[in-house]
Amino acid sequence: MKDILSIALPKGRLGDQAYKLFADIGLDCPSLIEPGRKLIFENKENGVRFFWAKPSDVAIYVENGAADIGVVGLDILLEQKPDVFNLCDLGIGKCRVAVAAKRGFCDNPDRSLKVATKFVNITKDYYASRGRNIEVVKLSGSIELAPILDMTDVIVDIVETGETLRENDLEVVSDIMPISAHLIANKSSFRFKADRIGELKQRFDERK
Amino acid sequence: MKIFTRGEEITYKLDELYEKHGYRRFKMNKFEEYAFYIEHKNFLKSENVISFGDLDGKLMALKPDITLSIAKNADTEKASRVYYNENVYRSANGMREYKEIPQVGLEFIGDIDIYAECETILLAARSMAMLGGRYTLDLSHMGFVGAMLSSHKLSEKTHAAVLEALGQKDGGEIYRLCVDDGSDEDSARRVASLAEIQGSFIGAYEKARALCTCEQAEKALDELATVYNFLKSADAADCVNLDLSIVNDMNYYNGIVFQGYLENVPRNVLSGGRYDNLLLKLGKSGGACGFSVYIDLIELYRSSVAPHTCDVALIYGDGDDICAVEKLADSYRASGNSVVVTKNECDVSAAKKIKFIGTGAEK
Repeated sequence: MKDILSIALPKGRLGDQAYKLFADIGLDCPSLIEPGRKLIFENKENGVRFFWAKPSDVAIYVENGAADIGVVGLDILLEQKPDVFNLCDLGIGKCRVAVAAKRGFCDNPDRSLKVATKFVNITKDYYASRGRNIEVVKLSGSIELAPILDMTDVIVDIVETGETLRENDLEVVSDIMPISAHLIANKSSFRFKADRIGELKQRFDERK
Repeated sequence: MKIFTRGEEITYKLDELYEKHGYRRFKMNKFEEYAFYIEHKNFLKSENVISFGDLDGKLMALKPDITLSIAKNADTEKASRVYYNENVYRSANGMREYKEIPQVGLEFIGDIDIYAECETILLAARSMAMLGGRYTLDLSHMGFVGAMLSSHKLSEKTHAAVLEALGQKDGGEIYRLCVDDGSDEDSARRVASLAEIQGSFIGAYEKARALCTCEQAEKALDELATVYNFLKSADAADCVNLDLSIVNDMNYYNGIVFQGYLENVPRNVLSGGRYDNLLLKLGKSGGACGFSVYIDLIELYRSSVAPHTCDVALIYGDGDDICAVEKLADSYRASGNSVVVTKNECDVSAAKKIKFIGTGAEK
């Protein structure tokens, strides 16, 4: 029997896409997509164990060795800077991190810029590289509310189609970076399950 | 019989191993001047240091690191072998709180040569073997990585970013950084392929050899091969890998660097390397290499969570004469048993449980 490879997937649409990638290369686990309240799913024949995690927690599970590998957005990797191997870009979940503001916004360099975001580190790095003083307001969700209610001048958030921004009379001011989902591995697991993780990475690379 | 915790047991064995190789214990003060750590903050695993004002107003710090203090105090005119078994104080693994972290390690400092380096890495391998279970000791060479990057004339910022991406085995990012900084695609691909060089020593070594473009890189690989052959002749090379994603700050580390991993422990439990550049920064000549073993991680992931155990649990009830209970417990202790006196037998796991009745006992 193969060693079990433990895989953390992000809950939601990105996780569904990621599972499909694993299933396509023969690492399927049918119980994962059955409805129910189970938390961990195993297919002993394939030697895999999957579990769903909150997207921002996937890297934490991998870094602490609860999962050998995981799928996580580049935005989360750059924000949390977990001590893991970033093995490859899976080419799914493509979108961008951008600065957005109320339509017609014009930056006033006389004072600090007020920015709402859940990506505090990405935001600080971006504005530091441009030499712009900022005041960051950390939020956990519904970031778009901040400029609408005049709490901040701009937001830094993930933009996929831009539809939510348009519906709320907001627009992208500048793009910070493109992002997508990456395959990450625990640094210790990678050494003890090198063959399995290496083969997996190679198969994902070949699909690109 | 003295009962050790897992960490104490390992510490005891490691101390013994190092003493057998002629290393002397280095005992040190818990404090150091704060400015010393600020000057060398890039050498530290964490910038967060506990500081306090001394009685004469000098700003002091609780030691966050041992190697810096040993290097500062070492007489580098001769070769000195020292080991330590001390606690350090710093934040751990990105946590927002300070921890007292037990560390064991050794340093070989001063007039050292390739033998000193080989012996240090052999002791790292033997330390890993002593921890129990499957392990790997992964080697890399900052001189090799440095030589591969130097031909690209990368800006300081890109150089640092490439090293960070190499530490994450992020070949895609290395390629992008090199191309954005003006490298041609072929050379960028060559640098990115460093991230793929890993695995059992011989195979990975051949791949690294194929990438060599200059004398400095070849010299670094020759040094790695000498160390590997030394380990092999000492029967300590079975779990030794080459992994070029192991990178340390080049301002301090200039030669071989290494890390040890244990199966089912998510982070490296041993870290070390050759750090002549630190001595240079401290205004000293000579060379230095050494390593630390993170006893806290081994205790955290390798100790059982079994309840407190003893030879005898003496269980008494409400209304029992506690003086008589203690007298009976002492009689068992006199025959060499460890005895826990308790009202609740679930509190302890004991080889023998004895219930106290009146002035005697029921087994």
